[in-house]
Amino acid sequence: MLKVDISPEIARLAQLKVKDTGLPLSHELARSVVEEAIFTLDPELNLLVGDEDSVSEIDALVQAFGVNDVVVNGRHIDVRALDDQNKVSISRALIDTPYTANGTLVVAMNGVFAGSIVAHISEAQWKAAEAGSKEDQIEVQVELTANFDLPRVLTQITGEHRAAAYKTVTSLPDTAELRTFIEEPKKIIVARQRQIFAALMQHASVRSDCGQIGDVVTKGLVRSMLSDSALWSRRVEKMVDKLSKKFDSLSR
Amino acid sequence: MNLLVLSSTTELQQVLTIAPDWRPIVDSLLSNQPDTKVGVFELLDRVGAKAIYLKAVSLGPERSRFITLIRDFFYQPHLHKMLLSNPTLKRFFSQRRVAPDLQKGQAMSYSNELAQKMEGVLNKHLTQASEDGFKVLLPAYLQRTVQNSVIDFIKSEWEWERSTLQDLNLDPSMDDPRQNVADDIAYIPENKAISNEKVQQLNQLRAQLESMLKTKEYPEEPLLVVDLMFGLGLSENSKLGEEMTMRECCDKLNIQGETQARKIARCQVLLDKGLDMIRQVVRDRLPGVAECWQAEINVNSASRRELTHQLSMTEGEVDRLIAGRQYYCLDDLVEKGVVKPARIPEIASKGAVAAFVPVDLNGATARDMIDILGINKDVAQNIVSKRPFAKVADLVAGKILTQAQLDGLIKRGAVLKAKPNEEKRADINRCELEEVVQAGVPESVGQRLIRGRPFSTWAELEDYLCCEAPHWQALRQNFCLGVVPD
Repeated sequence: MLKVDISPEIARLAQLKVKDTGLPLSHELARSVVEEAIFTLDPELNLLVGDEDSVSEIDALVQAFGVNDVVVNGRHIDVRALDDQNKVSISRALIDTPYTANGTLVVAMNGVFAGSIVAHISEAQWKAAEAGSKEDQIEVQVELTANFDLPRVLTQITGEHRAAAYKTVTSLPDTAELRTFIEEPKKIIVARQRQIFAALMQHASVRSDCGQIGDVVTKGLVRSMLSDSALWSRRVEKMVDKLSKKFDSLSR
Repeated sequence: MNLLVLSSTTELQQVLTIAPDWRPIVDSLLSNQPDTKVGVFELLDRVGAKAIYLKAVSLGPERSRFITLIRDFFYQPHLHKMLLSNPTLKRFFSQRRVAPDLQKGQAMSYSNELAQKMEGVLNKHLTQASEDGFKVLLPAYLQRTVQNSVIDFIKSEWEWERSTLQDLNLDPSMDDPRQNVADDIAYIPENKAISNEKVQQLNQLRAQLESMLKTKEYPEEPLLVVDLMFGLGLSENSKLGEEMTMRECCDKLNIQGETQARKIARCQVLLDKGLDMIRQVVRDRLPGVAECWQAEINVNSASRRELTHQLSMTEGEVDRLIAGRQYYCLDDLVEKGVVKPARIPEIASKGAVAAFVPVDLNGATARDMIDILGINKDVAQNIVSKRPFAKVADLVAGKILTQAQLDGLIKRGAVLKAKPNEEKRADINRCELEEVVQAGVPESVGQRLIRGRPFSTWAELEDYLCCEAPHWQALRQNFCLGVVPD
């Protein structure tokens, strides 16, 4: 099992990012673990990370569907952090789309600064789990592999030709549909959600449109406004406490 | 150094002069992509790391020129592209909101520096004639180099910000306003905002109070006292938002009494009666509002007034409850004979809970010590006059308590919180590693802390460090958290 250490800078960047997206820190760290693991593999394997934009760079998609992918040699691979019951889950809308075509790498986090890649869930496993569930989040019980062979799995994934298995989406979503897709996905049937995901993966223009959609007032901004206002109130009240001894009419 | 990514034919010709056997590869590239310009980068990319390395090994005096071409037309464009697509650097740029043009500019200058470093590494391998020297020309090797450099870059940027932006800080002599924020529930940001639902509930309550004042079903005077004292603006003497003192209230309502003290005592009785009536009406007619707003009353720390008025306990029950404190759960009240079993659901529905509270002998009021710990009044006053104490044993040594009394108090929740010396607290966002280590925190944890700074809240630092409890305690006790400009 390949244990990977994460530098404090990477851990801190991940923490600052989840402050805005509101997702669990373990997911963001799991992606960093996979990236770091690939960087440490033999260069002769020629595995290159990030040669294409990952969908997890679009905050709106991260918040709405929990996308969390790394791109290796142009292949999007989903990454999930293992929970304490050895399970991972994913949004139903992501299954049977090019997003999960290369499966999921499962990371067991060991605190904040280390983790190990422990399993790979294939697209077929996700489809099988989806068939047996009616929930929005599809869960899979992960069977941990004692000696998980990351180079072999990645070489296999990057060597396959899967893109052709998904038809090119002809009816691309417009901005209004993308907004509904992100803000109220339940208003769109799952089959169309999958088509939109396929369009996102296949067309850079759709990804770019999607990136433009998002709250004007983000969670991070609200948090920072509330925090600043609390600080200001605290200062004013302390000042009032100091001055009220001298000025009777001044009180909280 | 030539910064152009696309090489001119001159550079391509130079490469072909050095390696004439590569001309067929150029021809093949040209025939495959007739519309695109083929330069040194495209040629070297197609030739591959092993062939480039073997060619460099075989060269004589031309090697130096060949390596320069590799640096400028192979390493530099590769590194530039990799820097722009590096996920860690992207996250850093996004967090700092760096404009796209500036990102490209920074990546360009940084790729030039890295290309020079890689030239040195390649030269070293060629000098040593190492067999696997070709690996330093592999894109995946460059990718790892880029990642390591990006981490160093972020580290140095944060270090620079820490040392340069210090002057922007607010008045350092001022108390750190965030220091107590997390501990004080009133300052938790979420508590500053209330939901629409809660606003609606408050409006419902106001309407209910208004209707109570209009009907003759309820005595008017207690309700008027509540209206005036809370500034509800429901009657003619009351003005919205203007809370009156008891004295003002007595004058406005012309409350009778021989002395001012008696008038105020009468006003207090009316206030309690009014609040009791309102509580009862809210519980009966607005159960949703009661459920949402009803405060929990901890039977271990509640005052006699709270126990009597809010939980409707009788005088006898209150006396027994105070004498038998503290309780781990409400059922303990039955076990200790304070109330009958049938009373438990009733007082629980009025918000009663039992939560063990520690009572700090260095900070608690004499009243709390008497009511919660059951200390005799004189002893409580003696403790207040002689504190602070460094350790509990000092109470016995100072002949304030006997050992048996002290053991009894500890069982009832007495604790001793050492008073921190605020002036000596260093700012965790600016202190040195040595200070962290001196506080009893392992060096490895201290290094992580320093590399992850600055932190805006203690919670953020706790999530990041995930360190062991004693180390976290040492940090909280010895440091404060200074405000950092965003």
